Amino acid sequence: MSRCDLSIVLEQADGRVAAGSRLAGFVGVVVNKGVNTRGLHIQLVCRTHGRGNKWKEVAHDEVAFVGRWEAGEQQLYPFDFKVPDGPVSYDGELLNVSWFVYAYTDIPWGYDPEVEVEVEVVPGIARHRQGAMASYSDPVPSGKTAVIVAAVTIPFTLAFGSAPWLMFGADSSMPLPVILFLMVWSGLAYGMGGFLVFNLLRNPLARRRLGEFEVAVTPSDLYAGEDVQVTIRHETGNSTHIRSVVAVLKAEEVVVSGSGTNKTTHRHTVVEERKVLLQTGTLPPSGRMEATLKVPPGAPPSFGVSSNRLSWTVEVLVDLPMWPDLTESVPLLVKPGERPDPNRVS
Amino acid sequence: MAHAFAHLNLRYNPFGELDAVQRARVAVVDCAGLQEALLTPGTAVQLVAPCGHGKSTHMLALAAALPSARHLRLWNDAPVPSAEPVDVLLLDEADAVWPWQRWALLRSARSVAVGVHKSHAAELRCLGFRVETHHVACRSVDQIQTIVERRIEAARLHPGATPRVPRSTLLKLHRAHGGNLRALESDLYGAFQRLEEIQDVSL
Repeated sequence: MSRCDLSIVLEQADGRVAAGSRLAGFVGVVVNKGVNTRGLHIQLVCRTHGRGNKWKEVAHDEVAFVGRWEAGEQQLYPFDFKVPDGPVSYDGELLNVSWFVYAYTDIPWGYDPEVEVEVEVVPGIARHRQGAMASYSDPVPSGKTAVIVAAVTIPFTLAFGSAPWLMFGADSSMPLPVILFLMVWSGLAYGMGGFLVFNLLRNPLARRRLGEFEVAVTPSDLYAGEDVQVTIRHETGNSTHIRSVVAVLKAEEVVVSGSGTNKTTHRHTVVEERKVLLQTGTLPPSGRMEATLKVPPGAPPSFGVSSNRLSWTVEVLVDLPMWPDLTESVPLLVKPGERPDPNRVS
Repeated sequence: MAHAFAHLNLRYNPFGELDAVQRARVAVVDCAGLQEALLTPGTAVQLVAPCGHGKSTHMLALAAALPSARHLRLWNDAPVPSAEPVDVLLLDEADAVWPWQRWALLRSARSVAVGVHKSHAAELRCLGFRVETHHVACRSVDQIQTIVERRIEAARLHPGATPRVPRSTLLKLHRAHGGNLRALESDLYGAFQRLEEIQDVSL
């Protein structure tokens, strides 16, 4: 039996609370043996759990009592927290965002009794926090940077892949295992370098073929249930044959587990909506294509903290025959809840 | 409020990532021998294993058992901490940094434990340590069963039944992944995500 037992009672019996509102309740302490405490801490904590490395933020930390409790004593300590404006609770496949009221008492040289109760934070009215929900997409180097990096990578790849041949010399009297080793070495070096260069140059090369090709997504921040308009303006100069132009609205859980050499990135697509804008045809010298994609009602909002994020993007994929394809990704910020009514007075 | 895993009488998926404190709590390692060795100055204990076999868990258990020890985990994408004189240094991912950076840290301690993928015995001997090598591995299904049960127990929500991973499933996992606990946990994570009620887990 521990020296004291803790329990938590919430005023909101169903444990649901709106972001930005108040969360109140009591922490009960039943003392089994007289004990000194350095502090009874009552915290409101947001945590991620799931496949990615854990993240935690203590929104409130209140020391409700410091001193001695006598055996048989029963105490109630009230708390009243203002729940931050976000993030809201979320349960996904790889990522979960949960809020807890967590209480523990710091007992010198002893086991610290603790208790926690999960609280569901639902979207508040007309409130959202940008910080932890910022839109995010994987960084893609700009055309100029990509060309510079590729220009540096190519000679390095050639030097690294050819170095052993130059050092040992390509000699027919070489033992077969050495020749095989050198071939594997060069193959790996050229393969990795080629893959890197191709990825760097794919978009700039596709743009070269397509000319002016502008993707605009409006609005860039929106709520679940709303439409997003994708507009493509192109000025290719001459007609270009194209296999397809597709716009994809995508919500993806991206989490990182481990670190250093053990780092692994896991991805899970939550929402994917595709719209074909052009199917096997000729792109005229100039023009405009449009598509409307809908963020499904009840879809989860954007979220992003270290190692854990839920990112919304609109991707435009242009499939060019016998030429590298163009992939253009535009991040979106999907806010929790519904669009606030401008006429409503909160 | 209902937890996402309340239908399984769990607070979270037991096979998701744990933080350092939780990992130390559920660790199934016997580090009494290692602990004793580290208390003898001039000893280097190297824990050798591939990724996912439990080196870091051993380190966390040692850190919990030796609170005065300096516990460092080195990342190849983070700055290397400065060397400070200590009695016991626990150096995880010791092969993630340049040798001279590792030597500076190793020289700062009287006894060290290093987590590495390949043996660094010669290097440690050159630095003046008496080397004890432990190949970390989870060899038996019984040990895997203990690890799995402890993980589920740590995630328990209320007293009562929770999903069970039967021995037949554990044998299947052991055949597929051997001692690679991380791969085994990854399979069980997916299995627990798919569970709709408290039942035996099959793959």
